[in-house]
Amino acid sequence: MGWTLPKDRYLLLDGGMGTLLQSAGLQPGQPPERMNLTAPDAVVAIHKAYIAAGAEVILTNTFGAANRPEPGFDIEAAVKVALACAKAARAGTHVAVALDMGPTGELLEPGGLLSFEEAYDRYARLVRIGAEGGADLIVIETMADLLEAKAALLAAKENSDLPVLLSMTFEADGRSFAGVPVEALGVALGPMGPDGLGINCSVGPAGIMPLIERLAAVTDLPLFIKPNAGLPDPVTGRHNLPPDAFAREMAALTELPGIVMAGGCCGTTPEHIAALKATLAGKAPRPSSPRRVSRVCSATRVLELEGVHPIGERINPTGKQPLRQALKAGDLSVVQVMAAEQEHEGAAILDINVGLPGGDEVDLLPRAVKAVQAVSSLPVQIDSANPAAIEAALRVVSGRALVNSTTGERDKLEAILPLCKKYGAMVVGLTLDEDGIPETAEGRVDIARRILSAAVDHGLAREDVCIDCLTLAASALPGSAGVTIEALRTVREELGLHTVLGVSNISFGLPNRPLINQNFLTMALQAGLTLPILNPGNPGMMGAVDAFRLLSGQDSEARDFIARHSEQSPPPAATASEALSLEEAILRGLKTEADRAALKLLDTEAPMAVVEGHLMPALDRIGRDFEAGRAFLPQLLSAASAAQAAFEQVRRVLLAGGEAPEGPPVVVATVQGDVHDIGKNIVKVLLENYGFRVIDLGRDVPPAAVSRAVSESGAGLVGLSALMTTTLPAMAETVALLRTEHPDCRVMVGGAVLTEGYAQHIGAHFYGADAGRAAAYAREVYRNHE
Amino acid sequence: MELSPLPRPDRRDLLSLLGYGQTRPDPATEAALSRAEDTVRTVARPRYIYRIFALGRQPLSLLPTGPVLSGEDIARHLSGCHSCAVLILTLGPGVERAIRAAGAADAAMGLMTDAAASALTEACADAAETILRREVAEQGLYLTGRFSPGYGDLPLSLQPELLRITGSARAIGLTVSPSHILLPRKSITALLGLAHHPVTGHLAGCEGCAIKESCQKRQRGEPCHGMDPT
Repeated sequence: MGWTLPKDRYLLLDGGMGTLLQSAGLQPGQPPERMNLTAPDAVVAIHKAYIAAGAEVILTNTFGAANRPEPGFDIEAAVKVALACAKAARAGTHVAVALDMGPTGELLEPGGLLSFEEAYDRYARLVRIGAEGGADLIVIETMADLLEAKAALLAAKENSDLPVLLSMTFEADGRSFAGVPVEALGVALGPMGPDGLGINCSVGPAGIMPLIERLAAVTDLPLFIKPNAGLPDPVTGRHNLPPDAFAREMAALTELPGIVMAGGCCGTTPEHIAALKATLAGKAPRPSSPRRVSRVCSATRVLELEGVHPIGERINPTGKQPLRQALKAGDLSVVQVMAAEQEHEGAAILDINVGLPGGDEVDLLPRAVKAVQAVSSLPVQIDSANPAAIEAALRVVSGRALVNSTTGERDKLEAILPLCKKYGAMVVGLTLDEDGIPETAEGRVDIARRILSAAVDHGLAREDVCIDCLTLAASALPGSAGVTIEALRTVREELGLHTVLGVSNISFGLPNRPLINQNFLTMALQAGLTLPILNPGNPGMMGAVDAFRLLSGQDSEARDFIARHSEQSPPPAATASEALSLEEAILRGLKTEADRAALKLLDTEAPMAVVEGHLMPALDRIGRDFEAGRAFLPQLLSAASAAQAAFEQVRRVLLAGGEAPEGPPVVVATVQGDVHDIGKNIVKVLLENYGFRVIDLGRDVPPAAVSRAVSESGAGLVGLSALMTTTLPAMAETVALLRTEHPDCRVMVGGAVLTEGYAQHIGAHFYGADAGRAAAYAREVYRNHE
Repeated sequence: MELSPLPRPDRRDLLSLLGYGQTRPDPATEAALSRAEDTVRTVARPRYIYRIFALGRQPLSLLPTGPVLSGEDIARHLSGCHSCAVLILTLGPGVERAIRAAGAADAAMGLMTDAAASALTEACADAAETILRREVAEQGLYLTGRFSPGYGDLPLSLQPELLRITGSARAIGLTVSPSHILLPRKSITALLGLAHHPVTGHLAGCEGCAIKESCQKRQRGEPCHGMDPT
């Protein structure tokens, strides 16, 4: 058998469960799933009332079953009974039983502590019980977090063959509590292949109509709505729209495209569903015809790929020593800095590549994706040659990603395209195959055609495919630029596909590379390049994109250009700031000036003389001012950042001279269960100032992970932070483990609720009352080691 | 429920969170603080909810389903009250992302953005309290100030219970971690007593406070509970 949607009429879903259960004796605040065990007859009666009212799909009483299990409550038994109740109620009818899965009730990482993987496991367990228990379909509902909805959808599809409907809840402005716009539901999760998408709970019917219309504009999947019975009363929280008014407002759905199912949520009753049935009787759904546009998205931002959108290329360790070093140590904070900077500089999409010789990309790439999503609201491009790493990364993308890349090689297409289909990603195809890169434009376009046709065969839409016609060094192959441009033009004009191109390779081996790059970029844009991969921190390249968008009419009224360039006329060089000494620049917290002053000093002084004669004295002075209450934390940190910029210049000179300046390693972490990391971050900045190589493990770090990082880095010092009384036990546990496994390693601890006494009590070597004292202690430990 | 318009915290509250006390920061820091405030105001989606519960005695609890309000400080705060409002507010997860993003690019900016979000959370809680106070006054009732889990000897373990009885996860998207941290972080839960006669409540003194040792407000002689030195 199997559940299918009718074509020529609306399918009626059921209504709210919670309020009815409360009338049957459920205490407010108690988990409704308990009623399956304590009052199964009441649950059956509610289902029967909805069936009598006309509902053709009933949802099991399992909304909260994915919540953290309460001790002593057998959720597995409750879900099985819930399924049995629904099946008993529908016996002898054609009504379908849907396993209902609501949110976990917890906030997922990075805002919260629940990992994607744990959320997935909870849903997978429910799905298996549901499939075994005879559910006809699965309904995932009331989701506010896109990644949590994705975890549930993947769990449903990977652990059963049942049809899946998925709905999220939005506020009146079309965003969920988590900030997800309604379009992101269609763009990110639609291509993953649910059998229908919807909006439930949220607002009343009138408020939900404009939202479902927005969803219908980005997906051609069957849609459904299950609105609340109006808005909640502010005092009681109850929804009071009566059945006839509810049905009247619901009548508007028959005017909208794409909707094929309807029911109710909070506050709706069998009477509401009966009234809705009367309203929809004899009416037929309208087909939807969304605009076919390529779209990617993050959890909070949808990007329609029309016109030119630069992809930021900097998260790539090739040729970047600091990033390589950090990735090797498992420290993703450098990746986060690059993500935040590129977003600020105007990138539209972030490429993420963490491929290192000997590195475990399958482990590292998804962690890098999570780290980027924690600080950026841009869509991402997953960049790897390793299909297993690509899949691991695609699982945790909160949004819709591009995959960079497949080629025209048969094996590659077979490895990459099914992943793009399963996870609903767009794909970038490189125009090369088993025979290498064709020397002619026609050859490259032929491969592009083959990639497109293979993608369509694998179930991708045309607009999901982008083509990279490849840039080769102009110095090695004269005329190759013309081939790339010609191929690109044909792919854009004849195949109508988006085009991706990394441009800077063109100037390899030539002087004045920026000049070549910028001109080649303009040529490529003119030929139809829509997704240039570039360093958005490069003003010449970004300026070329901005100017092209303006001149080609993509930047209507020159709004973007004016916003980005009107304040950029560089101030004349001879301002007062130029005269600032390095010390002064650091004390005032001026990054650019500190960088410039260091550069100037390095002309005449040895690197270590700059450090010891200028940098350290300035840092010591701001440190003393801070301790004396003459300077405050924001100044201390700004000074530290300015000093850091100067250090980078020193490091560059040292590296060029062949010296490998690597400071002693220090591991820092916020303990398990705690999410407060400001204090830890402050300590980290100060430690870096004093030349330490800081391995930052982030927040919510298990004791074993801290210990492992000490083993791997050989750190002689660990800094731990905890802000809550409730997370002090985790700190004690971490200290104890470190003292056992690394008896020579020193441990310093800090955080608002810590005291000197408690630090001693749990066996820490030092209590850092503030960041300055923590940094001073680190220097003392280091001196003693020397 | 939404808070509109968005209240504007007093700059002095923000400076106090950053340890400034009476000193004014330099103009560059003032400007950076304004940028941090703007960032937070752009992404904040403050949502609040309140519910009123009758108070049970021996033990002191919120009726009908609990939870028990343990400790001497909350008993003192609610003395003379017949029922208790539970007020819950969050700035939403967008703020958390903005703080992380600011901190990734620049640690000082991360610190200032975090502080700006804390100041806005307090200001929003004040605004929500004002609305609640007005509604209560219309019924001829009086309201104490706010008292939150973690103050004095009122345990943080009350947080999940307060979210549960108000349905906050579904109503405003607020959750709590197993270690009783509210998530999104920039959120507040508070208890306010209702009485038929004017009441002020009693904030706990510093004695039982978890951050007594490191508290800068206390060191500056400006404790949370006002000038009362107990």
